[in-house]
Amino acid sequence: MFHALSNIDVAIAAFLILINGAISIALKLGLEKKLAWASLRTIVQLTLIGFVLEWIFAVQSWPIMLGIGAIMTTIAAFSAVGRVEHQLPFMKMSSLISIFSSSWLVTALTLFAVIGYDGWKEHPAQYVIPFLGLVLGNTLNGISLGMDKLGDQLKRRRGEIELVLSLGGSRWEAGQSSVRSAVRTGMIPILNSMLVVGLVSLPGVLTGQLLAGASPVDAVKYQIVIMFIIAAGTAMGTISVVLLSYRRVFNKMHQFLFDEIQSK
Amino acid sequence: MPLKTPLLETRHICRRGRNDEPLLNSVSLTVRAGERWAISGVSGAGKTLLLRSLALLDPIGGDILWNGQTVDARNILEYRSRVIYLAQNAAMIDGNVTDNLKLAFSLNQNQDRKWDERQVNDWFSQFQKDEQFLKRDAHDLSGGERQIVVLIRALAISPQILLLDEATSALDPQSVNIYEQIVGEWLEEDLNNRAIIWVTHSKDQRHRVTDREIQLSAGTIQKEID
Repeated sequence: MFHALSNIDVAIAAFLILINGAISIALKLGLEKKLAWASLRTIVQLTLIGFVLEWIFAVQSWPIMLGIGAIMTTIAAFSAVGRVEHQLPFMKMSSLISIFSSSWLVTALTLFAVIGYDGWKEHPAQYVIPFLGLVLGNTLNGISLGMDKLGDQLKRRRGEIELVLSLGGSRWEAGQSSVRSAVRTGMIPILNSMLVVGLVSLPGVLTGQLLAGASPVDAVKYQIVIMFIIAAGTAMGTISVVLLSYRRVFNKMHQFLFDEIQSK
Repeated sequence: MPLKTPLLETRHICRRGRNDEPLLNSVSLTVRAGERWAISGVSGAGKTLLLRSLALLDPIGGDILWNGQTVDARNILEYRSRVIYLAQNAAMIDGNVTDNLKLAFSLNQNQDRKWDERQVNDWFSQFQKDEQFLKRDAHDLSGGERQIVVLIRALAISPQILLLDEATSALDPQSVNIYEQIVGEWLEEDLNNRAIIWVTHSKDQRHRVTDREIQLSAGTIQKEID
């Protein structure tokens, strides 16, 4: 039932991206170069990962799989905080710790507890890498949005934070509203997609399984599991990175280290 | 008459900037009960930094002793709830004036403090502010009105030392008088246990409200005048 695409098919799709290019030129958006670069990266990155996956699926070795997983996680951790506007101290390290612990924990729970089918252990790579990738991709977004908001709040609310401290408030009492607001922001995308899933969009895993010939009811079950693990991963990753970073901008003396926040 | 015990003592406090440039140099100061200090100096001399450092809002080198005890991580919250820094443009939290006044009482450290509504209303009425004023949105207040709220917010939790940073800069002369009078009365009420440190550019105000002065220049004490 599964029909593989030919290179010609891909080329036709690539032609569609030219429409974006034309719009960019017509409206002087100045996005052509970025579009071309992004398209090229899409092709190169996905082609490479295609080969890598083929190799991983062939060897089915745990050390290699975990190694690849570690590389994916590290890239996700660094890109999550790479573009946020205000750089907080030790932000990359906080992101790495948070994304590692949350995504690996959630992926492991899914594989060992949720998926009742033991057969996956015979060809684990087909399960481990895609699940981890899904969780990472979404956690990355949550962390990125959460950290952007945290930096923004800490920068803008300096007066309020120091007011609370100057009246005898602890660092938690001073920072909690910024922390809450950052975690809330990080959770928005996954909450939104949980609310409209199936009504507005058919997510990738569901689409993929339908294309591969799975029954819609089976495919939907997988998708529900996926949504929940993504939500759990995002929540854990975002809360963890926000709390770790919040701790880094206050010290034991309950002082707000405002000067440590570097703006781009 | 023997000298009263110091409420606050600083020993060689230093503060450095982002690029490690010295901002405060080895400032040592002893504040005894009942004393009224002024900190003077040109803009950029480090007056605000010194007040912030006294409140331990920024990391500093050197020690601060409060009632003879070094202030460290164990007693910092108690210290800051007693030695209160009043910023020139102090922030208001979202909500009305009452919410702002009660902010301090919502903090864990201040659970034993009593909210004295009669006293608070009395202070406001001296500024000709009635109960309607307490219901106003804090973000709609003028600069001067904010400074009044900032003072009463601090006084309401019975502090021991007030660190006033250009605290009346936005007030009209009549309100400045009332402000100074309220602070003066507050100090007189417990002379054995209270003190004020006042940063002000106005020489007249210095003469009215303080009797000792530290002249700061480039983060260093130039002169102490009794």
